[in-house]
Amino acid sequence: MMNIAVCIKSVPDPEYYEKITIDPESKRLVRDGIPAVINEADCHAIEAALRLKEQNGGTITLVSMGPPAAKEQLLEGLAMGADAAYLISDRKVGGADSLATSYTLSKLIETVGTFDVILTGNESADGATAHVPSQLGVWLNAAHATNVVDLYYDNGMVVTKQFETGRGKYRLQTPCVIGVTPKANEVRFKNVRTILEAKNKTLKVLSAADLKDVDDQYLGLKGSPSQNGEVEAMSGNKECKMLQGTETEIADQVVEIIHQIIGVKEEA
Amino acid sequence: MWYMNEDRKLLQKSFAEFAQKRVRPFAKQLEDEEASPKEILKEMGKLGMFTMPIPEEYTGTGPDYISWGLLLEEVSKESATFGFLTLLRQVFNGPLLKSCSQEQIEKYVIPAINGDIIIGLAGNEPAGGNNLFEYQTKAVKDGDEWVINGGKVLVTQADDVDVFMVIALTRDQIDFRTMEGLDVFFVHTSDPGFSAGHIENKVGLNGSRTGSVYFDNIRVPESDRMPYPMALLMLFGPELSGYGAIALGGCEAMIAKTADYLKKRVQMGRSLWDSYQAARHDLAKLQLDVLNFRNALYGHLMNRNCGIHDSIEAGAVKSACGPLLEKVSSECMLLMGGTGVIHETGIEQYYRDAKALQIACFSDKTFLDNVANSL
Repeated sequence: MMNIAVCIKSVPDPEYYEKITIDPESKRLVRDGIPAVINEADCHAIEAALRLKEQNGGTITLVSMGPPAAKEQLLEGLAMGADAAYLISDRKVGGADSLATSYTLSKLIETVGTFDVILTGNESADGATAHVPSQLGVWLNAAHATNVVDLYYDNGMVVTKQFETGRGKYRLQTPCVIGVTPKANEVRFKNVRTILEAKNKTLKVLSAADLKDVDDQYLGLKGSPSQNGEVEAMSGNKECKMLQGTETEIADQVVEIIHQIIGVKEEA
Repeated sequence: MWYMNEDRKLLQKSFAEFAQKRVRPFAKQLEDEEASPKEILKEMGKLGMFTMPIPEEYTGTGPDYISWGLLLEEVSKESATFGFLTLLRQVFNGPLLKSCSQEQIEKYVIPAINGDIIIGLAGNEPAGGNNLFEYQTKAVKDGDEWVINGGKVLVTQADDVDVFMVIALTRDQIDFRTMEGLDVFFVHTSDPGFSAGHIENKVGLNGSRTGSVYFDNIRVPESDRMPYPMALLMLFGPELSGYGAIALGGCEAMIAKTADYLKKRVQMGRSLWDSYQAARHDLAKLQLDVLNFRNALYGHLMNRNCGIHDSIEAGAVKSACGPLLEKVSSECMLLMGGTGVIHETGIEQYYRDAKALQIACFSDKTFLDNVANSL
């Protein structure tokens, strides 16, 4: 039997990326009118959990931090086949960077159960720091692995990590935290029967006061050592200039244009 | 939308995802090469998509015709033919539970609900789809078996199902009041004596492999004769309703596609959308027609959820949906200009499907007498 927790995040639907803007003051994404979805890598983490449960038995518990509307993504996770879901939603945990997020999630995980394996998406589609799996491992004092492309249980969790130049296989003692990439599996289609069971499963929204043994100084904006700096949207303007001359002359002009763009002066 | 709830929102999202990932890449093969949809249909069964509106005691998920319609709507955004083939999987099972013995339910109906087998209907004969009294296919009792001879025309998936429900005469004369003398048998397409003939080249719903089938001394055990065949007639009401959901999905897909095209097609530095109010208004008028139809359709399906199964109302949905699909496809083609009539754009096929839809099940014209008789 294996008790599995899966951390999921509600993110703006990538289909609507063209319509997303950034608040000039807070430097945060303006999500108004943009539908939310489960972060793609997190769907693969849920799929990995479903497969582990099928092979070993046990339970799957979803945990998330976000606004109350994120309940919708947790319900969808339950419709995929998870057994229970918990959302921490509180102004106290708002404005968190990845460190405060991982601390809050670690406390949520400790509050709602005892788990053998904690799965996360390797990174989120909006923040894309990929910090949370490792930080969770540290907060929970558990072994952790990121960039995982394959995982199964055999006297510990056996994971395959993807590196730039190859792959490495490791056995992690449980409890452990694993950052799952989309390469790890293909997410199954939802079954109608499982979807219709979702509303009858546990889905609870907790506040910071519900967390066990929590130290407020690590929560939210206060617990976030990193803050967003200046953010500048890339210009979408396209300019077209037709270069004239022989092939060599055109090549020289291209080099000159590149130098102008990247601010390099040609050496004499 | 007034008819949506938490369950239905999740179901619709899931149906849309399946349609986009599984049906969309297959639609061209189905339309142009008449590739077999059997594997995808069986996958849908395994995902529980044919459990609506089947009672739970038969592995169903209960009588929700709204979710039933949402599946057809989403699938038909990718392909009306695939919507049509989905509809047939949805409409047979409920009536079969009434017309079959317990043994037949376990052998055929529950496997069909769960995507283990695909059942088709071989009913139509050259005498005319609704002219049962002049049918020529006969079944003659021989010991514990029946021997079937004859043939059928305009059969959907003529060479692409596992089992056919075959309507056959078992007496020289049919009793007009009780319909005794007319029976329905399960015939396996792998049985000796079964053959599929010519597949018709028709105007729309391409890929549904409409064709002829023949029965040459096929031997069927008594246990494969339905004890209550007339209950099968119940399938026609929901089938009529289902065509509405198919047309609705097609209309919505075309309007979305046309709006996207008009916004992205730039001439002289401006999009067609920004340049031509007439184009915007033409599309807006179509959208209003479709919204009205959507309300009528789901109102009708909500009636079914309440146990009101009005065949005239179902016929009204069917009679309205074909002309609406024809109008929307015709207008969208015009709005897109040359691009609109190109096959790969994915609009013109709905124009052809609209015509086939007006004839599927039975022609819209044959239905008018039923309406007149109700006045």
